[in-house]
Amino acid sequence: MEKGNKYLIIMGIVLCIVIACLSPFLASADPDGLEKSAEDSALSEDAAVSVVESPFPDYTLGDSKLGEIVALIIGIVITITLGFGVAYIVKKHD
Amino acid sequence: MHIPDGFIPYWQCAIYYVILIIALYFASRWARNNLDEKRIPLMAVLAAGIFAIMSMNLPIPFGTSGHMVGGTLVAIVFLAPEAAILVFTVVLLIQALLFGDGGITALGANVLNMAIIGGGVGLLTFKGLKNFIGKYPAIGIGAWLATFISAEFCAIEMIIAGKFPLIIGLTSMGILHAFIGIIEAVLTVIVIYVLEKYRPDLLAWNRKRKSNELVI
Repeated sequence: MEKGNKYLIIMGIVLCIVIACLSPFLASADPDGLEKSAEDSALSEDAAVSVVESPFPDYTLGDSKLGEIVALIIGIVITITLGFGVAYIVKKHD
Repeated sequence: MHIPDGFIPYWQCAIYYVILIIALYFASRWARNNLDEKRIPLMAVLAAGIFAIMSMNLPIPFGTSGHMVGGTLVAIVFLAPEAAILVFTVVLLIQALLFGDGGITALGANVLNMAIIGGGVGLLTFKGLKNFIGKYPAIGIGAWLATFISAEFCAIEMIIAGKFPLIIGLTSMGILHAFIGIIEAVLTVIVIYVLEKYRPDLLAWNRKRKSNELVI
């Protein structure tokens, strides 16, 4: 791989990890736009269900901030890996 | 804007899944013709970055929060909403299966809103405005409009699902995402500015210009 792309990947991962470390402390816990609109629409909170049982519900791992950081970093690693995998499968073939 | 399981009846989810499958067909065809190996790392890093930034909810008025989505970002970087479809299918699948953010049954609807509508509206707005108001203002307005329009699409899906009343659904989603769109606009402009400064070779608009010059 060329040098510039190695640098891009390293900078990208560093930035993602910085976000992962800050997010559990800085992110707002208020409902998001869709959740708030569901409240405005008087939609019962029970309307949202989970079809699959996720290992890190709401980006948590246990109930500590550290667990949230770890869950996010696991997610970042899986996303970049799958991103590479999918892009590699569909890429231009000469 | 992640629709959870349970909001949309399964038969309607199936329709959105059909749209997703058609979209993935076009996206893979685009990739086969345009995605050279050099830009694979960019696509993977954008996917990870979007995953990360989606955890950073920022406060907006009305006791609500919102985060950047990134559909416009990916679509403008590659000058193709197809790229956003690939990136968002990956990110939303992981979020649905591992993090309980957005339902797996709603995956089709969520890709439709954030990548197809979001990426499409952002890119079209950018292309339409860039020659009149300049690249960066066009990116900002494109990102804002993408957030707003995709939120209204999400509202319409919720109305069709029988979960939101017509007027309340459209008004509430619209007003809240008019604010969330500002977050989207600012961050989209910053990321593309940084890429243009350090890796202009990766941005599709620089490649397009080069090939045009050769043609002329």
